[in-house]
Amino acid sequence: MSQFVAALRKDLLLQWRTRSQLVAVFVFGASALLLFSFAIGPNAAALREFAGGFLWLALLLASTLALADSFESEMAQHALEGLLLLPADPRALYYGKAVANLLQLTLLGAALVPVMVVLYDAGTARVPALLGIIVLGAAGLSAPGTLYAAMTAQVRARNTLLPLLLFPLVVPALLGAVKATSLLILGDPMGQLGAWTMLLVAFDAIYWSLCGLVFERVVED
Amino acid sequence: MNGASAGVIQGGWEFVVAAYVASAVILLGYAFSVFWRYRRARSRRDTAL
Amino acid sequence: MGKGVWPFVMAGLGLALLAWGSTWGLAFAPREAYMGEVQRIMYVHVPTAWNAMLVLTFAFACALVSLLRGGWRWDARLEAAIEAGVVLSGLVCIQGSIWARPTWGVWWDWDPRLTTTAVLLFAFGGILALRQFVDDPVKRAVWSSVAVVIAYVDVPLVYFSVRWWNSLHQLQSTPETVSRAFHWPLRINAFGVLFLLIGLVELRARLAFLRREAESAPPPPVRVAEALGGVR
Repeated sequence: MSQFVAALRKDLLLQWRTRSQLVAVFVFGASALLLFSFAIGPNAAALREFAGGFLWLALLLASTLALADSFESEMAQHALEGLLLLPADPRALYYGKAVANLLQLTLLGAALVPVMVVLYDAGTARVPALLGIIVLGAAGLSAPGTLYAAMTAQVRARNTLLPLLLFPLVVPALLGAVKATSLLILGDPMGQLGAWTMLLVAFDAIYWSLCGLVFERVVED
Repeated sequence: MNGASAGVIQGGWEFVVAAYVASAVILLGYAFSVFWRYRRARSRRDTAL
Repeated sequence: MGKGVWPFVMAGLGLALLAWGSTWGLAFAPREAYMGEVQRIMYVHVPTAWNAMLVLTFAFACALVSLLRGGWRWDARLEAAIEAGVVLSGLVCIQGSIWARPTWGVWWDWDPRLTTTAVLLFAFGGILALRQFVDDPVKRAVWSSVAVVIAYVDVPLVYFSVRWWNSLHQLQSTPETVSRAFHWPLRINAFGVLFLLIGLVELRARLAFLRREAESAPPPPVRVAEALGGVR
């Protein structure tokens, strides 16, 4: 447990030191939201209807940058091998990195919400629920994303491989997050929010355990 | 309109043919692709030192 | 890895069964009540879909064995199964699309099973790409096995999420029951694709095994090569 906390501290420190990169990723996400609105045009009703989908698409695209970045420092000067030489459980390393990525993606998602509210006129009164969905969706992205970032950081064409591997995988999480967000924005007359939240929780539970289990094999030499 | 055939898809042979042709092309094409690559690899292995 | 000719026999047998089943389905099976001739597409579509799922399940099994026990043969079979799975999934999507056009008037109707197959196509296609970009054979084997396990576990999740998502919009369900008169061409074609696959996956696995052997083969010593008339 203390290994996990140490790993988490290390990754949070890394993220703090490279926070300018996070700002750049946020700007990328925000401009993506802007560009998506051009696909719809100045149709207020349609923009509101699709706002949830576009928010998560922007976050998904931004996550490929953020996740790839998270392993950049590990690759420089063989830091990853140095870490693995320590008598630490690789799972602690994985969960430390994954939780740090989760926090970063949640921050990103929360920061993109005001952009969505302004551009798409898509606000919600149920702010804590929206925050919860963002956390669950970000968790769905960061568990497999951290695993695949660790893999692809070690090969060429990494910038193409990470989204190529990640995107099909996170379809259930994406669907759940988009539906849940749309229901929060547009209203939920039939009470479906619970079902979509359960889907997100199931996806997260499965992948946070599975990816932690296999991480050691992915980084061993 | 004749009641008996209302709601029945008329014709459509061109779609059936397209589906069968696509299936044949892809299955046979893949079979030959595997066969030729295997033979090339075998001959390369047999003539290598 | 194996050397016999049985895969060729299997594949040939499979093709013969497919020819028989398809002829039966095209020419002799009765016309269906509501879908007319278009129903005949089912005689290739359903067998392909069954076998696509089967070969991807086999890939999952190979990945587990490869991770737990290792061995180059299982990695070779894994590569073969993934490639065959991608080809079949792609074919299923093409067939489904051709079927949807006259039936629903659109090229894609977001049917949960077909959409799941499309996601599988991209997921396993991505794993094939992963194998291309990893040069170290050990890493390639471990990573693609991990990726296959992760992608396969996703299948029920993808299916249920798409089904819930789609059920809010789709009023008609895709008819999947096939009445009794139509069973035989279906079964024959199913075994046809199965036998063809068994033969092809075995050959493709041998190919993968040979390639990996060639990858790590040391170069021939200079003098011997000269003596035998030049290096290849």
